[in-house]
Amino acid sequence: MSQRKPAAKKSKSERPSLSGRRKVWLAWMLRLSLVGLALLAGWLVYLDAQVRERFDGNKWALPAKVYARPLLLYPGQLLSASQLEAELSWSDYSARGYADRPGSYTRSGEQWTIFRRAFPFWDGPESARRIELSIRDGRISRLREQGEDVGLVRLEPQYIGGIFPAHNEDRELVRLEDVPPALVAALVVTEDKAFFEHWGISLRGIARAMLANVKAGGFVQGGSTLTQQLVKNFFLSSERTLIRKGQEALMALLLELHYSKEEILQAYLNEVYLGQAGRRAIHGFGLAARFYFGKSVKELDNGEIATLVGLVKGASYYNPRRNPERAKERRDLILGLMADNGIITDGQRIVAQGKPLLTSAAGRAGQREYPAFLELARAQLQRDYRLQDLQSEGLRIFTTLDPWMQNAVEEAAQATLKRLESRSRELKDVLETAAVITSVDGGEVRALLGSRKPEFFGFNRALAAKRAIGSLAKPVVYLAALESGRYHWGSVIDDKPVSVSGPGGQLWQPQNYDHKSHGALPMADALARSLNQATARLGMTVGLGNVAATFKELGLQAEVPPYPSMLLGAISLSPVEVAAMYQTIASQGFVMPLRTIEAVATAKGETLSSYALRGEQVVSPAMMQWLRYGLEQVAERGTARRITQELEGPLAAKTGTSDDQRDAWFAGFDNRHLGVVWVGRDDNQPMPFAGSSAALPIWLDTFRSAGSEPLPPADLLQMVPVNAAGQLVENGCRGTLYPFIRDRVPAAAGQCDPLTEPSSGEKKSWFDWLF
Amino acid sequence: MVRLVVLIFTFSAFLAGCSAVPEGPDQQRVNVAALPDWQADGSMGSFTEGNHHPAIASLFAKAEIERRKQRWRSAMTYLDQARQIQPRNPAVFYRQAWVSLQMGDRAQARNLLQRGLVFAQSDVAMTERLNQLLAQCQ
Repeated sequence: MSQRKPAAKKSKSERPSLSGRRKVWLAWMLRLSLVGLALLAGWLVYLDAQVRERFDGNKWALPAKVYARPLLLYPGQLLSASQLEAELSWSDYSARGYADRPGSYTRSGEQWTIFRRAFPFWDGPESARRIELSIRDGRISRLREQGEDVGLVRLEPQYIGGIFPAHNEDRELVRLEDVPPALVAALVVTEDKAFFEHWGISLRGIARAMLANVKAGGFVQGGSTLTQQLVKNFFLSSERTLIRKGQEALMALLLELHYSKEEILQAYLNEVYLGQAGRRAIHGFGLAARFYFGKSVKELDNGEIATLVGLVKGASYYNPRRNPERAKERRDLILGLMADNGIITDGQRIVAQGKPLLTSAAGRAGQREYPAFLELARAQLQRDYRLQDLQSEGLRIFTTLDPWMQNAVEEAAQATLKRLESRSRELKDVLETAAVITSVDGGEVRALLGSRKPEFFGFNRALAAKRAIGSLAKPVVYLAALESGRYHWGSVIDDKPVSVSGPGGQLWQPQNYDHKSHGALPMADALARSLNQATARLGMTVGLGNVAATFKELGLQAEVPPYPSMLLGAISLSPVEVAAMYQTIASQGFVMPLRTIEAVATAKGETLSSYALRGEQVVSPAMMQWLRYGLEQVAERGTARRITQELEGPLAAKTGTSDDQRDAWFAGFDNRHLGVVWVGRDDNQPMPFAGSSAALPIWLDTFRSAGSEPLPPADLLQMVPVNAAGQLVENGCRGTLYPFIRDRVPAAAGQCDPLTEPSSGEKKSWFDWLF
Repeated sequence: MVRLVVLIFTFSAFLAGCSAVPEGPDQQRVNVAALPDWQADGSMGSFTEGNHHPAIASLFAKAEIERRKQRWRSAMTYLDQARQIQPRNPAVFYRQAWVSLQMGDRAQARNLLQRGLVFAQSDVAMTERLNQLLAQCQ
């Protein structure tokens, strides 16, 4: 058993003296300080690496900028004065008494002078050009530059959106030398007067801010220098802690150590957040100048400079569009500061303060986005490019979008839906629409509408809404019949009740729209009147397999089940798929992918890709012209006759209405464009409208306002008389003229009922009329 | 007689109106002279050969510069711009097909020539020239 010894008490002499304790304490302090210094040094090295890495490399993830097609100007081009005026305004051109600077134009009657801006096109940069043109009878009659005739000039294309990284940051990079000195000076005197004197942090500024905050009893003023603000935006989160504040100060010092004041200022001018446009965050003065005033930063006047500088303090609070009074007050304050500091004279200040706060429209074409088209373009781009590169490399994407056509279809859709919905309270805001407009010969997508709200990023019905196509399937049935060699447009077919039993024993008994049967009639009439029973009978005779194969032949990639109901359009397709199929008809048999991208260039102007026409002639042009005759009859005297009552024909078209009127469709083309329009409800409920009353008006209004051109004559066809029994007869025999493929006209087999000559003297010649 | 005077006046005014506006490139028809010379050894005359609408001529001139530098993709870009202005001009398809051949894309050259043939239709000389080049694409 051990005994516990009592703890020996230290004698007084053994205790460390006061000075000894201080030494120990000091030693510990020294050690801790050394550790702290080592940690600080390590942290500094880490921060330094961060600062240099970020500042030396690509500072920003630059979104791809997407542009519409450039407007081509050449002698003879179809172009109305209203289109030219609109396109100039969308590209932020200003009408002036004299077009004396890039981005301005003047008009005097038919004569226009346009000072086009310099622009880096995908096939090379072009300098600013001052051109003169005349528009007569809807065409450019003359195009000149410095007194000489020129063949072709392109206006710079309109911005239509971006492919943004996660935070949707957008910016237009500017170099310091491109920024007006007054803007830089105004920014410095407003935000950080001692910018050119301090080393990143300003003790005087901090003291002043602290005093102000203490006086106010809360946070009213920050003591951050421009360098600190840049560090905060560039490297750090927005949390307010002491450690973060310390980090900000250290990084500001490091930034100033490595980089010149000019480099820091340039970065600040491009980094600072200056507003929001929908999902798009507006960063930097370059883009802000474009967004708020529709001009480049170089072109800003003193008042505009002061307005933008005022936004630095609070982009939302001082937003000149939403809070004009506050923004004006702030602008005038900054103009005062500018005058006090000799940046502008007192006279200039008075003039600038006397001006109203004028901004360009936020939703104007040149700054808004076109989500439906962008989605299709992005999907096509991602076949060749990584999304990450599209979001960060500042690529410039040149597309096929025609803003004039897009504007026409958007306005037509708005007006038509409003009109349709006014007929019934239950319909208010429930109708939706989608539309695709392409060029007939090249398959370039010229306009795309994915919703009745064209600026809404959401469900894109043009691409994703798969709906029953109804009678839009009928031309495929008639093409299969024509290709079979057993039918022509004068062939007599029967429109009488049909009953087909399906695999489960259910009966398929289609009805006509008017619930009547119309008996024997020529094939052209059956298509023109969109008769279901006649078409179903024809399709069954031609063969379901043949009709399904004809869908494929026209380039449809979706599977078509060989069921009888397919003959009348019980196939669900998106508007873009329908457009691709009708494209083959409109282009005379050339199957081609619909295309949105013309070219892709780097931010420095190097062309990465350019895309030309691709496709394959799969159906003979003569066969397509023969089919087109049927579609022309639809537009001339059938269910789509309203379009030729208002536009010059011939035009080719087909209306479509699915079962119970759940979908209204219209597909039609003129000599230049094909348009497919769908109207329906997202909940797939019936509507009190058919294709001819809901979708046709959108097509018609679009083609009326964008411009329409009749189809050329079908030069591969020959008109031959056909008797009432559908048999060909010799020329000079009584019959109705129908077209046949010129080199494949069958021999006349019908009995001839000779035409009687009109007796002489019954008709007067034009010469008789004159006298 | 008054009717005759009115008619003559209206007709003259109509003609005067028509003459002031040049026809669009889409309305112009081209003939075989619009095709550059092509030899069986594959060599091609200048893309600028033939009479063309000023817009097309300007693009052919740019394409010719690129062709001489053997920058086929750039040449194709200018030719495709010409195609969009005159989408049914066989002379454009002929040049595009030749450039496709230089790029080693025979299938594309064939498709473009077949497209050109659609629009050459009744022009025998043009059809023959397109077919000559088509024979090289097999």
